[in-house]
Amino acid sequence: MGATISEVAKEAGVSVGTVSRVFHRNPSVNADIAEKVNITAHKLGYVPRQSSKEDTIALMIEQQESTGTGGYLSIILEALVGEAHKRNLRVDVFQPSDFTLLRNGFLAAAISLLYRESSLSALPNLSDLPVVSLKEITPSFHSVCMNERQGVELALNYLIDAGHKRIGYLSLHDELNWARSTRETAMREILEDRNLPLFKEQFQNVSEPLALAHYLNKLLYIGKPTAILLPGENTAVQVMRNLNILGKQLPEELSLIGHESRYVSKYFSPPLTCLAQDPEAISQQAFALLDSINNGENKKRQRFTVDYQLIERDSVMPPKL
Amino acid sequence: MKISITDIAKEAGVSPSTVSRVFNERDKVKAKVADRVIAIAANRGYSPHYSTKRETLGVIVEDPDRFRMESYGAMLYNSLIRIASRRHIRLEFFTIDKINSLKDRHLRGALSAVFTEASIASVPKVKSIPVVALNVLIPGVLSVCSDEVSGIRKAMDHLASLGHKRIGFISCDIVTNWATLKRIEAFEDYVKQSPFEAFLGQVQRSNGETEIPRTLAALFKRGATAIIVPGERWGITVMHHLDLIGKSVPEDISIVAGEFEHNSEFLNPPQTCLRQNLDKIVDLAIERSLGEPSTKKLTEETVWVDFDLIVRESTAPLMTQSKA
Repeated sequence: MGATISEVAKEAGVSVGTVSRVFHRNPSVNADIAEKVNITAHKLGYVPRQSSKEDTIALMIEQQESTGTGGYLSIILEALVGEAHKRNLRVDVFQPSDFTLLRNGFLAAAISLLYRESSLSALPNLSDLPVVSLKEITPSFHSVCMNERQGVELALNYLIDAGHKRIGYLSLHDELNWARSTRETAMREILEDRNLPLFKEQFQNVSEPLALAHYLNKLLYIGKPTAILLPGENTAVQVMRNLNILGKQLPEELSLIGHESRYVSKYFSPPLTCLAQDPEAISQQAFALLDSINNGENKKRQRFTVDYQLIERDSVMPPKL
Repeated sequence: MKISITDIAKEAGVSPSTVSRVFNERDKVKAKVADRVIAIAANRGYSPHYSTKRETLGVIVEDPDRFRMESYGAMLYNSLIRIASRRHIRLEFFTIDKINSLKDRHLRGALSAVFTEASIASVPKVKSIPVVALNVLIPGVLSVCSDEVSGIRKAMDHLASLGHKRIGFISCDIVTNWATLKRIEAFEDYVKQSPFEAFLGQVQRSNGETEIPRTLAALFKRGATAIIVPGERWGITVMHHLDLIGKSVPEDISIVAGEFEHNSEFLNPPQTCLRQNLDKIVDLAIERSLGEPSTKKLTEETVWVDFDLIVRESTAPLMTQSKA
């Protein structure tokens, strides 16, 4: 039997009104008092009873203090807001500096885009809350992710079928994450399996538009690849600019497969053959999983993946002999 | 052993409340003191309690099933999250038909990020909290908007300084709203006052694929040597269609486009662009929605934010172009 609001108020030494304000996230409550009420409520197993309790979904993201994160966050955010809308939910964004507020009741569920160790360890205990991660990194959460291995396989098969035997891979060197390491492992294994060499370069993300030329040159000079795979949404446009300056003819001298950047990849010259993510499918799958957790199904950890689609355009052709 | 706020305060020679302010209201602490506290905290492995007393703002958005914000939405959402984070503000996203529940949420205020006529009409219904509209004019609602008129003028001044006199304008917005009309008006006004020939081409978004080539053909036929293409991703689309008909930029035609983050600078050639200062728009809108005292223009309905013109390689002097 859960505690009542008056028991929480008594134990915390505050008025019932204050407890209510804490759970309604009224900012007029002193931070220390709010914290005390939260801890007390949690200790007593008090579940705030509000008609609107289950109308908000938490989206937990990394701290976004400095520069932009490219398009993915905003695209997945739009898709999640749309999916939440269909279920009469709204989306409340939490960054690590807001995590103490995650305990404050009112949440129907949470979706996590966290991948940093420090952020994950800063999370309060969410055992009562259904959580689905969209990053394959948090062992305790259910997850819905893009099928990175399938994506790489799709692209490689396409290139190999077109006759390519020397395939390069150019990736952004950022924090090591699951998606990147999965892609790299898949790339290595699939090519090994076919007795084909792998040529790989990593570049640092710098704002200087032509800094990539150095890495590209190295990749092209050492491996002499006839095709390159470019993961990352904003990588292809940079690479194509640098190849243009290096005087490479696309796709005659080099074939490219990039990651689809919505609204623009089809207008590159040449229009870019791409692996496309499906943020809407990820959102639907994530919400469906949350529903099933809420219904008491899926006690065990569930992992779902969404397949990539290959969009054929004009940046791949058979290699010149 | 867990390090407490008192330990940090003692070592730094300040009060615990100063330590707390360093992590929650940094602006109110002297930089030197803040640096010292942060250094000690990092050194001793102290993980700060961020304040739970954080302002929350609602963000009113379109239902993406009915209306997609495309590249503009991506840039706007990025700015919203980035600036809110910097200002320690939390955001709660509401689709437009849920605005009735804004009043139940103890929100300090709300930002409106809707752009269709039907949605815009609903925004003034919110009476309980201050609402500031982003980049759209709504009667009776405060707003912060890009100064479309000055943007077009900057683009025209730039092209004029390069000797261009026959200038086309391709208007292809996701919705035709005040901004579209203002831009067209600014373009036509500019042309009236100067020895220009101007060509206006309006393209419906849904028919972009067929209308852009037709519009371009018409502009070339009339001898345009430069075009202005506002809107984030349309510069890329127009360059693609120019490529298809064998026209080189800037040799055959100069282009000033709308800046599309992470892309415009990498195009072949890199594009001369008008960049909306979305970070500044969001920042000012948050300030207005909180009614902060530094907002002098609180009583004015609209605050205008200038565009930046970023000159890259898609515009060139007229004489270097192969035809005049």
